[in-house]
Amino acid sequence: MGVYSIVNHIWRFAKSKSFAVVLIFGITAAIIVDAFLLARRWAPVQGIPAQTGTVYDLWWFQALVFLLLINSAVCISDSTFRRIKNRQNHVGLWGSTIFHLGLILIMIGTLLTGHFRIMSTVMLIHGEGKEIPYDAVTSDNEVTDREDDTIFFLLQEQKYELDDSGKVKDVQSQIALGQKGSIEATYNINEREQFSYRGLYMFPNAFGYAVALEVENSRGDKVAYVVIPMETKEYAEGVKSFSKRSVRVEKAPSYKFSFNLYPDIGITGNQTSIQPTINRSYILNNPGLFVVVEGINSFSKLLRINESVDLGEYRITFTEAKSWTELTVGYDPGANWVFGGIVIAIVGFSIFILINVQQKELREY
Amino acid sequence: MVEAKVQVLLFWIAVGFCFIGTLFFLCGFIFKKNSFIKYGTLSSYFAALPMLVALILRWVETGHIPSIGAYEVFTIYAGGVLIFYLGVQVWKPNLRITGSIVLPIVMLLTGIGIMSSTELTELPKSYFTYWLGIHMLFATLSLGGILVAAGLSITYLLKKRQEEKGKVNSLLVRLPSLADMDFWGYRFSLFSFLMIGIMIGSGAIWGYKSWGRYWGWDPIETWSLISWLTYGLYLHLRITWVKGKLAAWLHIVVIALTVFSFFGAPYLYPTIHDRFVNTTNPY
Repeated sequence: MGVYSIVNHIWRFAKSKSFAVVLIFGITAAIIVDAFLLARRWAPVQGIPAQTGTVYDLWWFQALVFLLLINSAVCISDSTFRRIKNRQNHVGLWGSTIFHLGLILIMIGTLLTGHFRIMSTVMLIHGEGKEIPYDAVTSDNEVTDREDDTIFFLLQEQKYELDDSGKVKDVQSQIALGQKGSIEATYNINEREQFSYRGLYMFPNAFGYAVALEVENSRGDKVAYVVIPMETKEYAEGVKSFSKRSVRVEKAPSYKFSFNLYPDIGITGNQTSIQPTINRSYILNNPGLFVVVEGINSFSKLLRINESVDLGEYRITFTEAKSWTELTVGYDPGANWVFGGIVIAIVGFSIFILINVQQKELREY
Repeated sequence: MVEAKVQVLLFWIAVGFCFIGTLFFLCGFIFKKNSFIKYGTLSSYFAALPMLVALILRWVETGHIPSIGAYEVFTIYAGGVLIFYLGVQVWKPNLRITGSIVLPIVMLLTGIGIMSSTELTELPKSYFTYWLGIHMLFATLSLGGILVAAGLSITYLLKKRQEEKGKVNSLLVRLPSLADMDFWGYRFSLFSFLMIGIMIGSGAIWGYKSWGRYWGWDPIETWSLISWLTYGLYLHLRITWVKGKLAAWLHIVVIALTVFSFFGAPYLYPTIHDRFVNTTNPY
């Protein structure tokens, strides 16, 4: 058997519908088995569903997808060549070719996504710029040789929109992006509203407030300035709280602190017995920080701006409350391939359906 | 609350007409009379009217296309499938026999829907997008196509069996020829394949906009993909080896799998699509 004959056999097999059937069957069977195993390992996380995968990450599964890609590519190349050669211009059959081209793009996209997709989060605190190497959000590599290629993030403003009952309706963040400290673009975006910058897909996924604390030693020297983001908890739609439990503060390690931040603290009772326990609004106006100090002598205190807790050797002052926005930053080089492929596949299959193709023609195709 | 009661009443009226229509279709098969089939189709028109009004009322009440919770999901599917069937039988009157499968299923879907909670729930922001409407529209169209195709495959098998015995009853003899039914079953399978594909594609775009990923291997996503791949496998087999009776049986298996991915899988797994059957799901 000559080389030509062997190549011809391989070519015939690679472009055959039988091979496509075997591959689709293999892929479908693997996914069905995995779907039954899925129930055991499924653990979605609030808000963002977990991306699970057992069979999908296995080399043989990806090899099946790759072979299907090759099969489709060879099949449409061969049929296109033959149709041009034989001057067969049935529009419906061209629809099938376009559809398979779309599928090829989708498969390329999914393989790219599987290998190169990176999702990360960037916490932005109001007024504090962040310079992050571009490679750090587009690859798994911790070390980058392109340290000078960075993205500058800055949360310029955060606005809360409240409904008539005072619940949070929407939160808008003004985020500036650029390079090396200079701003190139500014985006006003609401929660989960996406935008793109330098091939990265971003959207704000969480909001809240952070507290700025100043630590002084017993001599009155300022030894640390820390900003601690509070965790935002949502008890019902639009009903939030901002707190952080069991935190150690830099330079004051002998204590643990728990914080509750009230963005706009109110006063109950009469003016003589002040019991400021009501949060009047989610908009930062008159913040109050309820601090629980855990240590040998545990105690709690409510701090207004510039008020302190005295711990003997340390003094901690609540200097400021700031807003924060957490951005989800996604890098997915396969997404555009997939979306492009979806559109092409839909167009192709629509042509295929609308232009009546008889089964006889399909078999010959 | 009053509105919900009105909706439920209208859905019950629709169920009543679906039941009457199903009886007519059944009588058509038993007494082998085509006039019963016509009355069955007429009943489906009467069922569609209150169904549509109820769905519009729900849409106005919630401010979004009915698609959250079993009540909305089952009724919108039922309404969509019924309208799809009416469209098909206007386009091809010969295919109105498929109502014998479509109508009882519409009745069942509506029944399950109205037995569920009609309570309104607040939705996460990610659900306030036109992609939800697109996703639901194509899900409904695919279900419509699947059920009409199921009707064709089952009728094909019945007629084929009688033809093999050499005695076709007077009702089935009036239906399109076996070759035509086979052809139309195939056309509807192509249609369903496209609709499932667009449903998955629109869901992928919605997922990308909402969660930053177009595919998350959510169980329902996975089952939709399985349905689509199985349809792809079936279509490849049809144009290569499988024909006639075997093709009809294979089509029924694929349809059963697809119907499971629509209505069975959400009850088996905790998933992001739980919102479609369980309004209290936090995800």
